This record gives sequence, C-alpha cells and structure tokens, in this order.
Amino acid sequence: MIRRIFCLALMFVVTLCTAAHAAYPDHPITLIVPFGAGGGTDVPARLVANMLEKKLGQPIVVQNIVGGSGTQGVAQITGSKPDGYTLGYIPVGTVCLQPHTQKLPYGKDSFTFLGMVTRQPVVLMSSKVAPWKNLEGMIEAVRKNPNKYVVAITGTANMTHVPVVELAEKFGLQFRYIPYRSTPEIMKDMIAGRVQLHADAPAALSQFDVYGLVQYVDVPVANLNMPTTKEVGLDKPMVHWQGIMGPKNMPAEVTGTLAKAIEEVVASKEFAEEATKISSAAYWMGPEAFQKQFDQEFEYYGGVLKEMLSKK
Amino acid sequence: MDSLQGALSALTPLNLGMNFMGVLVGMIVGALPGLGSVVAITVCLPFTFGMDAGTAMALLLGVYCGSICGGSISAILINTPGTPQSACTSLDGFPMAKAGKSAKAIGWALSASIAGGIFSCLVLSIATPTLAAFALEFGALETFALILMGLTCISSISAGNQMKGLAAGVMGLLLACVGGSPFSSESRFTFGLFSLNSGIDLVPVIVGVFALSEVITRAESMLYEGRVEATSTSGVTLPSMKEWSGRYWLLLKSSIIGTIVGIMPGTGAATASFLSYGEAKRSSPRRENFGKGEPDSIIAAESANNAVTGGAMVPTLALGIPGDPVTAIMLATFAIHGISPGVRLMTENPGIVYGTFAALAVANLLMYPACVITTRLFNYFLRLPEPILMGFVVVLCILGSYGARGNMVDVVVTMVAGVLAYVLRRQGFPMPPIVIGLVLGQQFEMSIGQMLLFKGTESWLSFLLSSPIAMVLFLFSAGMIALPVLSDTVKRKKQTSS
Repeated sequence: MIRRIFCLALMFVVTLCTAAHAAYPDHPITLIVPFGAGGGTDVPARLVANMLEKKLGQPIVVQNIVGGSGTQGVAQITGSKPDGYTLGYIPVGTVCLQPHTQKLPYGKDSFTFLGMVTRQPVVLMSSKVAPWKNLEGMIEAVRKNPNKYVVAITGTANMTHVPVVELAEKFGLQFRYIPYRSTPEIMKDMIAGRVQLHADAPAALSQFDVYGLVQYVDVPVANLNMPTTKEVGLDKPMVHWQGIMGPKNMPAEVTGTLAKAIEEVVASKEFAEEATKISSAAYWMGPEAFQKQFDQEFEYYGGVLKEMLSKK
Repeated sequence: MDSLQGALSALTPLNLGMNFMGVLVGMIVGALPGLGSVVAITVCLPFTFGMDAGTAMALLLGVYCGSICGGSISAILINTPGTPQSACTSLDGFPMAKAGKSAKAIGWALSASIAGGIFSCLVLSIATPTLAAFALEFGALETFALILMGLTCISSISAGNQMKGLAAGVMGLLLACVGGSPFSSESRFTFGLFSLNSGIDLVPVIVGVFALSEVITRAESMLYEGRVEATSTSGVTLPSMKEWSGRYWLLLKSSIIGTIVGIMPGTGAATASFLSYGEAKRSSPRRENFGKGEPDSIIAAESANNAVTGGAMVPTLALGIPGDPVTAIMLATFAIHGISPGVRLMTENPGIVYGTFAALAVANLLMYPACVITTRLFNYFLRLPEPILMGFVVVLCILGSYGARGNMVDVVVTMVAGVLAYVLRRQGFPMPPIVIGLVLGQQFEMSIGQMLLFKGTESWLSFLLSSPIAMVLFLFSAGMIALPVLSDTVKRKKQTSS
C-alpha cells in the first residue's frame, strides 16, 4: 500500500517536473484586446492571433475586455502573471496618453515589449459638406468664424483630441470639441454636416464618406493623398500604433520565443496583404526598438498633455 | 440583374444550410440566460474567415435573428430572459406558462418575431436610401427628444403605482451615472474602485434583476412552502387567425417602433422592446390584463425587438454606419472579405446587398423550425430537478455577466442587483423602469451634453425652431405625460357632476 502511494507520488512529481520544463508554450495563450469585438483594435488582433497560433503550435484565445477607453483591459494585462500566457494587443493611446491624465493601476514601467504590429499616422478628416476643400481653406474659414466649427472627439485628451488641439494651437484656431461614444456616431454626424472634423487612424477614410486634410507624419505615407504636418510647419508627428505586450518581468526565453514568432508573422507578405484589406498597415519593430519608441512617446505626450491641460 | 442574382444567392443549399445553422446556434445561445447576440456572433466569427462573403453574411444574419428570438424561450419557460431584449417578454410570457399555456406563449412570441422581422425586411428592401437620409436628420437635439419620449413610457408602464415606478426609473438613471463622465475625465460614484470607472453595464443588471432575483424567489418558495409551481415542458403552438384578429394594428405599430429604433445608430433591441411594451401598455384595449398573461404584451415586445434587425441594417448597408455592436461585427466581416463597407456599397456591390436582404428574410422564416428544435432541447433542461436547474441558471448568469465585458466587477454587480431586485420586487416596485432608466440613461446624458455644446451661444428659440423633428417629439412627450392626468381629471369631474 505504502509502495503504491509512493509510486503514485513519484509519478506525480515526475509529471510536474516535465510540465515545468516543457518548452513554452505548452497550453493556450490568452490575448487580451482592450476594445470591443469587431472594432479597429479587435480585427487586426484576431488576424495576428490567427497566424500566430500556427507558429506557436498553441491556440490563442482573444478576450475582449471593454471599458474605460481601453484602460480596463490594459490594467488586466499588467495585473496578470508574467508567464507568457496572458498577453495584450495594445494601441498607443491607452499606454502613452491615458496614464498622464488619469489615475491608473499601470504606468510607464508596467510592460514587457514583444513587438509592434501595425503603425499608421493620425489623419485629420473632414466632412465633405464642410465649406472648404483643403487644409488652407479650413484654416481660413475657422479663423474667420472662431468657435463655430465642431471637432468630434471620443474622449478628453486622447488620440482624437490631442492632434487637433496641437494644430489649433499652431494656427490659432478655435474649435468646439464635442465628445461622442463611438466612431460610427461621429461618422453619422459628419456625413450629415453637424460635425466638420475628426482625427483618427486612416482606416475610417476607406470606410466612410469623408476625406483627409492632413497626415501627422514627416515622410508622407504611400496611398495617403494629402499634405504632411511637416509640410505645413507643424513639427508634431503622431502615429497610431498597435503592438503586443505582456506584463513586466517576463522570462527571457519566453519573450525570445514570442518575439521571433511575432516577427515571422508581422513581417510576412501574407499578413501585410491581409492588413491592407482591413485598412491597416503592417509594421514590424522588435522588442528593443519598440521599448525605445514607447519611452520617447510616453515622455513626448506627457509634455504635450501637460502644456495642453495647464492652458485650460 | 445583379441584385436579383444576389437575392437568389441566399437560396443556394450552402447558404440556406449556413443560415439555418446560424439561426439554430443563435437561438440556443440566446436562450441561455446572460449569453446574448454579441457572444453568439463572436463564437461564429472565426468560421466565417474561410467562407465567401455571401455565405458568411447568411450565417451571421441567422445568428443575429436567432439570438434575439431565442432569449424569449427561457424568458417564457423559466422567467429568466436569455438576453436583455427579451426581458419584457417574461412579464406576460411567464404568467402564461404558469397557467399551462407555455406552448401558446412561445407561439405568440415566435409568430410576432417572424412578423416583425419580415416587416423590417420589407421596409429595408424598399426604402433603405430614404430611411438612411432620415437617420441622418437625427442629431443630438433630436436624439435627446427621442429619449425623453422613451422615458415618458416609464409612466405608462407603472400605471397604478406611479410613485414606485418613477422611483425605480430614477434608480435606473442613477445607475447610468456611475463611472467616468463623458465630458471630463472625472469618475463618479466609483468609491475609488478602478473597475467601476467603466460604468455599470446593462447585461449584468438585466441578468441580476430578472434572472437571479427569480432564482432567489424560487429558492424561497422551495424553502418555506416545500414546493414550486412545476415548470411544464413545452412545444410550440402557433396562435390561430381568430386569435390574431384585433391585434394586427398592435403588431404593425410595434414593428414600426422596432424598425425606427433600429435605424438610429447607438440604440438597440432592448430599447425597442421596452418602448413598444410601454406604448402597448398605454394604448392596448386589453391593458388591464398586462402582467397576468396577456398576449398583447408578448406581441409588442417580440415584434419590436426582431424588427430592429432590419432597421439596424439600414444605416449599416446604406452609410457603412453600424446601428449596434452586432452590425459592427458584420461590417468588419465585409472588410475581411475585401468588400469595403460604406456609402458606395449599395452601388458597387448590389449583389451582396440584396443577398443580405434575402438572407435576413430567409433567416426570419427559418426561425420557426429552429424554435421547435430549441424548445425540444430546452425540455430536457426543464426535466432536471428544480434545484439543479436553478443551479445551472445561476452558473450561466455569472458566466454571461462576466463574458459581456470580461470585468470581474460585473459579476459583483449581478449579485447585488439580484438581491436588491428581490427585495424591491417584494416591496411592489416594478422592474422594467430600472432597466429603461439604465438603457436610456447613458445616452440621455450624452445627448444633453452634446446638445448644449451644439447650441453654444445660439438662443434656445432659434435652436429649437431649427429642428421640426425635435419639436414634434417634444410635443408627443408632453402629450404622453399630460393625457393620463387630463383623462383622470375629466373622469373625476364627470363623476362629481353626475
């Protein structure tokens, strides 16, 4: 009897050891998306997850954790165990802007960077029924009628608000900023002509009946037919990026495996084509470069927001 | 020609099969308390990647219609609505089931659903461009007026118990205020809890108020009376033409309400069913019987919530603007299949658009066989001993409330809402006003704020005069508040004079 128990215990220990030493990953991985299913963050995330699970040999479960403009989901990622089985698909605003304006359970040092997946400049979009045809026309019209034209935002001091404030600052423009709950509701009012301007990722350009006035980059992006902010003298590039991150202190062998697999997916021709189909743009950046860019942008937006909020 | 071909593509064996699969899966998921349309669609989404666009749409539309109708099966049979939009159905469906007429109640719900769905489909295929233009007329002011009208239906729903009804409505409005303010980044009523920052979601409240409090009520009667009314197993009996007579106008009116609510982006099937229920309770000749098993109430709720499907497709297809989270997922599916949604969709891809219309109509017809199958499956569930059945319901409630947003605080909200609702129900507070307050509250606040910002320095008079739609809606709301009071006074005067 005792021998039997001993044997069983031994077997149990052996299984445990093999489990501990099995190569990562040996069970399904959860990828948290901090926005709702079917949206601009969710669709590319599912695309990556779909291709990534073939590389890693383990299923990847996409979990949408919605609320607080994405901060609820990000908080869940940073609060999880850093074992490589909970990762997040994170857009720039939730980690570079929100920590400066709200009290959040995460900050600059809460993440392990695995790789950037997409990157597109912010585009200032205009309603087709607005009384201008280009950026110069818009600036002229707004100067003549301060506080008349409406800019739709999805939240105070986020990526739909900050870029417009910077432009307004540079050219001395006065807008009315009106918050909305979702992009579709904004687009309805833009088509109807109640809202004139809205800043967002270029995806909306191909989906809705609006056009772009200016792109927030130094070097113009192919297939975006509009001037850059550098050309008009505003030195404030702003990009929407989405990347895969985990909680801080992930083991090096896990991050190595993940970064390699993500690179193979994101840098592939197949992913680039699929990303273009959903009006996104694949952009690979490895962990070190990603971290460096994050650090820079975190400080950059911190400064911009401090200045912006102090003037209010 | 393209459009005809597109419409016929909905009838190929593959597309028909997928459509039916969708309706069935949607109905089963919808019938499980707490798991709604979005969950059902997200489950099916990965399968659509390998299909062509028409087949994918047939599947998703099937799921959409099925899930909305499926919620009413559990609402009627065990008084726990499977989805927010079927919460109203339980109000009269369950009393009917208790009286041993569950098959008839499901028959009413099913036939009203099909009629509402087909009606909205007809409207969709005839008048999409016109209706899309109408939807664009609705800005902040018009939305505010519409929601105000919606809130007045609280007063008709709580007829006979005005004070308690209004108190419950205010409770709902207060719940809607929890979380970050949309106009500043301030948090309100969160007690410093970060998880409450994102506000109180509708799903956990509905699940708690309707499903969990019902479980507590049953547990109590098991404990003190040693028995519960046995939940009878059921089939589907469609109502006869004779029973329908005198109810056609109600059906048409409710379908129109559902379609219009569907067309407005940012609303949803739950809003439609409550509005239509409120209107029926105000105007139905049989309103005295509401709450005791009156089919009129089931007709109003079910035809309106299924009519939303067609209405929501109007801005989705004509403008590329999704009316609710489910249609947003459908647009994403279009994009994945290389069809760019938006204003050009109808002119560039008439085939796919008319295929969608046809698939939606077919999905509505397929609800009948799917409902018969689901009800049969549900019977196995109902044969379980009562304690085990209720245990399952609790597990599903918790699962569903967590699944909606993946936020643990929602599970706590469900529990608290369940216990509170149990207490309030015992005190005679009606439950629908709480839900109406919460459903409409967040949008109400948003539209008031937006309206004031849009008004700016303009005078109120010229701001209001610029919108005839809003003025009409305001007049309606005023009428709906004033009419019951006036008719009461007139009655009293007559009594005193005679």
